[in-house]
Formats: sequence, C-alpha cells, structure tokens
Amino acid sequence: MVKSRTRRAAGVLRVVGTGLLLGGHMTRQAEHEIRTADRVFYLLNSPLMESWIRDMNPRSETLVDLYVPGRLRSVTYSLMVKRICQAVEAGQRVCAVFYGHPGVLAQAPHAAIRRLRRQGIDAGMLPAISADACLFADLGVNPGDGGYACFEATDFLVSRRRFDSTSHLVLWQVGLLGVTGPATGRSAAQRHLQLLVRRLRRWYSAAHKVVLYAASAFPWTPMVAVQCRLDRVANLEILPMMTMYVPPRVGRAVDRDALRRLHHLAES
Amino acid sequence: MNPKLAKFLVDLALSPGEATAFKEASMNEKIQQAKAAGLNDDDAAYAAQVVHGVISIESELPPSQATQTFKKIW
Repeated sequence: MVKSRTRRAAGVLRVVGTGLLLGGHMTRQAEHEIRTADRVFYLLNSPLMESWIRDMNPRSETLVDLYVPGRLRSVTYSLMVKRICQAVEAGQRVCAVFYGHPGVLAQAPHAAIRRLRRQGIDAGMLPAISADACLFADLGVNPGDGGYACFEATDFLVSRRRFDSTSHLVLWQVGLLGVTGPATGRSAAQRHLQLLVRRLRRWYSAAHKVVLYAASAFPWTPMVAVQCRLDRVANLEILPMMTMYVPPRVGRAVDRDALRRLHHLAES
Repeated sequence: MNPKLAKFLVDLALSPGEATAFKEASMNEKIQQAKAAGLNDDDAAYAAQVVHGVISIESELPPSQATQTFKKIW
C-alpha cells in the first residue's frame, strides 16, 4: 500500500494587538486580520474589548480559560501556543489578538510564531500601541533625548539589570512586582515596592521625582499619572497595570573628542 | 456582560465625538440617551455611571467566570 503524500495545506497565523484604548488604538490592518480570520483567539483585559472582538468575528474564542489557579504561567503559555498552533496546522487562517502590543510582555505570541515558522508556515505579528508609546505621548517624554531603557519591574530587580541613570527609565508592571502566582493584595505589592525603591536609591536621591502611570483604557476615562518622590512610592496605591517612569538624573557631558572626530570626518 | 450594554459602550468607544458628548452630558441626560438607544433602566443607569466616572468598569461589571479567573491571576 502506498502512503499518500498529500497533506492538508497549513494555514496562516497573524498576531495582532488591540492597543490600550478601546476602539481607538487598533490599526486598520489588525482589524482586517480579525475580520477575515477563520478563527480568532483572544486574551484581553476587559469584557468590552472581548465583546468588540466577538462583534468583529463571531468565530472568536478566549484563551483565558487556560489560566487555572495553581498552574504555572509557563504551562499556561505553552498551552496557549499549542491551541493557536494546532488550529493553524489544521489549515485555518488564525488571528491571535492580545491586549496592547502583542509582542510586548507576552511570551506566547512569539513562541507560536517561532514554532510555526520552523515548520515553514506563514506566521507573523503586526505592531500595535504599547504602554510606553502612550507614556511618551501623555507625559511628554522624548526617548530620543538622552536615550531610554525599559525593563519588566520584577526582572529589573531580580536580575540586577544595569542601565544609565542619565537616560529615561521605564519599569513595566510595577503593580505586579514579584507576583508569580495568583495576584496578592495591596500590602504585599507595597512591600515589594520597598525593595524596588531601595534598589533605585543606588542611582537616584530619595527626593527624585518619579511618575506612576496607567494609560487611558476607555475614551471616557483619563490616563492616570501620579508624580511623587521616589522614597514615597511604596505609600501609594498601585494599580496592577501601572508603569513607573523615572526621569533622567542629570545630563551627561558631551564627549568632545568624539564630537571633534565626527566633525572632522564630515569635512573630509 | 449583557450584550446590549456591551454593544452600547463599545459603539460609544468607537465614536470619539459621541463619547465626548455623552461624557459631557449630565447624569440624567446620559440615562435618557442610553434608554433612547434601547437599554433598559438598569443598564442605562449603569452605562451612565461608568461614563460619568462614578464606577469603574473593571471592578463593577459582572464579568464572565473566565474573566474573573483571569483577573485574579493576571
């Protein structure tokens, strides 16, 4: 008996993001991918966002059921990858929708794309608006002015990340600092924040002003930006999705030798 | 969430001009406008309070069980 070599054509994966503002941040390209997909998987942070996606494509289903208390996040992420990839491998045109930018602070989208590309399957991601893009606009920060470093807050702390304190610093998810399992209460987060403040005090004075920021999620709610001294951060009520912005400490002196060499090269 | 209520709020979000006008209306005007759009009394009052900033959509809406689990863990 001769085995058939025919194989059902593999599908396509497009990973897109909603941005942060309901209805206001999604690109037309992302919307097109959602509307034309055979199947849509979504992981979003509000019931309104979910409702919007389901309106765009009734063949939509959530990935949130994979979050089970007690299950390691790494296991949850691998199950997400499996569910998304199996649909694509079965020949469907799949769109996976994530809150914000699908490639920022999200492991499953990258992993799904890598797995499919290894098989030669068409898989890709579309850019979207992330929290730092909103922060630059809302707080008037120009990352080109002095440079910009960003870290996930827990990783910044536990991996002893190095950075230049004369550049802008953004720490993602300070409200989830140290949270690895089910979210803990406010007091625990504040204890964690004290550790972060202690670390940041290596580079900044106690009086250095920082901003705790959350972008607007709905057209009728404003963004949140609370400015305070670094040593008082742990006294604030922190929202889970908050980002911390730390302005540059001082300006860095210009390297006159490098400047002179550039000038010389430009003239030669 | 009640699909009709969700659709009302999503449609509002998709029309920034209407969202601004709705936000700037009085609470009573908001309720009347929401009812005119087909919401029942409870949902109209709820939508008005959400947009007015009296209550937060994440904390006050009765989300699906799945969403509740997600919020606890996320």
